[in-house]
Amino acid sequence: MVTIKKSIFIFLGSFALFLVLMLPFYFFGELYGASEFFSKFSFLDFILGPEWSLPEQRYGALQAIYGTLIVAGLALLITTPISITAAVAISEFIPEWFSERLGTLIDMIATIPSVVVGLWGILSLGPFLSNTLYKFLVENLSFLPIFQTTTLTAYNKLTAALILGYMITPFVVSVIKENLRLVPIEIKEAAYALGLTKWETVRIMLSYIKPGIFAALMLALGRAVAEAVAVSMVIGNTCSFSISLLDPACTLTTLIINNFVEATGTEAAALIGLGLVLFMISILLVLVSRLIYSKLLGGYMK
Amino acid sequence: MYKKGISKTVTLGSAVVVVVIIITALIILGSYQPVSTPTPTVRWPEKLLGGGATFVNPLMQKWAYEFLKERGLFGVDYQSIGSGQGIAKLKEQAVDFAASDGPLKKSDWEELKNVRGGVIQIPITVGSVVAIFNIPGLNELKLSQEALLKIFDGSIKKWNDPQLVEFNPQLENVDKDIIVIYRADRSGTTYVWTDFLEKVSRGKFPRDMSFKLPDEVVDKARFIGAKGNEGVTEAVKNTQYSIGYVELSYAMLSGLGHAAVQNKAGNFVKASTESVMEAIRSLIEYVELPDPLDDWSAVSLIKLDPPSPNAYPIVSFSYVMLYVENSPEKAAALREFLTWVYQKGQRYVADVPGYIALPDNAVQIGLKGVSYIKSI
Repeated sequence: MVTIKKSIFIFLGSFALFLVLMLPFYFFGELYGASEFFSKFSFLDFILGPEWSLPEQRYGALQAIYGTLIVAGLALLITTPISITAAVAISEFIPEWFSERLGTLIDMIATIPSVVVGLWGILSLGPFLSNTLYKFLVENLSFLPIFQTTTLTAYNKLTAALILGYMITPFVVSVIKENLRLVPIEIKEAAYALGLTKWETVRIMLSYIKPGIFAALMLALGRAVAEAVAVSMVIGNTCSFSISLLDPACTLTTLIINNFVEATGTEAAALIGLGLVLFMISILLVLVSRLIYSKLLGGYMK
Repeated sequence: MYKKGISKTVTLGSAVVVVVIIITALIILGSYQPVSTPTPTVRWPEKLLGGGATFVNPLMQKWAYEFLKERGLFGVDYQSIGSGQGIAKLKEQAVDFAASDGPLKKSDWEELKNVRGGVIQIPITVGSVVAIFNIPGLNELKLSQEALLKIFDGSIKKWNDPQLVEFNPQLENVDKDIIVIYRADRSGTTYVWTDFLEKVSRGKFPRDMSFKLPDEVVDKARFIGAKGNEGVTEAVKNTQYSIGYVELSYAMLSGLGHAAVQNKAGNFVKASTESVMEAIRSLIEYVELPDPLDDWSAVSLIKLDPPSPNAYPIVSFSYVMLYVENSPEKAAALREFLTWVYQKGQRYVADVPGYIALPDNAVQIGLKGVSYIKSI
């Protein structure tokens, strides 16, 4: 019996190993797929070339990289305060009978397919925002370059970031919630014993789980960078370096999803090259976040 | 022990019975010849495999379904993988026929000229792309071809531009930026639309499956890329003072107004089943189209400019492409299916919303193409 259990465990465990082994395969697969492209164009030109233009055979990823970083970064900015507040509220402030249900509901948001979220963005959120929030921003805050636009529509970086923020928030909330639950009861008791208020106690708890929060946010950022379907539906898809959040843009993933189906030859290889860039961005994110994470962790464990 | 023996014999016995039943069934089924088969000497393939344009997909599915129901000979499996992929599969000889929103490129045609007797290209249905717009309080919009080009290449920026007001006096006080919605994903719709823009701009605007903003455009934020015909329709609906382009069927279903475009004769004509059919009919009547075996790459119905005064000018063919030489079974099946499509099949086109049957003279081109199919 024990041996059977053990062999099942080893069998399933080997899948984890398999996943890890797939990474280099994936990387070299992308490299191989893009080789036809990189034999003709240099990688540096590819990354630093501003424009993606099929008819002229100009394949530059910089505008797409710019769009990707802006939108994903903005989504992270949006989700950070919301998800931390939500997690704290659910685990500390809201009565238990309600907070559990609320937690389940938030988890359910994570299961909504991205194409549905995108449709929601097109059909209701986008038009609503452009008539209210965006109008307000343009009328009152247009002295800021990020809110300047000549033509206000529902399709822009801000809509994409809001949609993305909405999609990644459940993950962050759920991870932070679990982290808060794992804070040793002694810390809470000590805080209360010192006569701290509930608010001050929460702040201590939050600083205790800082590395956990950071890890959750990095995970979410990775997901935001990689999301394609919903973003391509609301971002407007006109590549540019425009600084305004209310102007359309494109991202690496939207370029791929919009063009790959019909692409052949060099172009298909170039699109796989975009995938490679995306992969490299993700790896860079993971490495940087590991570095910061271990630094954070070090600071607390010492 | 005893029990085990019994169960063993029982299992063995039932296994033998099952095998015998299966073998008998196979023999009976194998020798069974359907009485209703009209030409018992022809052996039909299990199915025909087609792939390509998404635009013709609803029509192909309808035809495949009705054809199987009516004749019961073989199925037709059409996969809507996009025009480009369809042609790629044809080159790999992985499909029996491909469908595309445009003809083969000259280079492709030359490459395939000597493969299996060459490629037959025949029009299978008609597409038409229209400009839908959202201007509050305005249901009709008249656009000259020049004005339409200038809206989409960014040189007309506002709705009250004199070139627009000339034919639409109601626009005089609409001092609003024009928001242009284009297809962000690649599509035959964009191909047709940019074909039109290329014609009007005399080659300056590039014809392609994807919409490319001219480099001169500074205010790029006026241009929004939306996904799919549905996406463009929604974007125009949600965005005041916008204009976009979609297949005629989507414009009809959307409830949005679509622009009347000035044709060669100088009339402003809105797209409709009649005006599109009239465009095709008049074209074939007055212009000589190539033979199905020839290079069609230069053929553009838009550039030929339908001469009839009642024709809507932005129309195109969707093509079916197949090799001349096929195995006897496939050749017979292709002949059977395509002949059916051009004759009886045209009746079902009206059942699929937004699609338009081929005029008689276009059907003749199709049937001529079918007659080239050879079995080897």
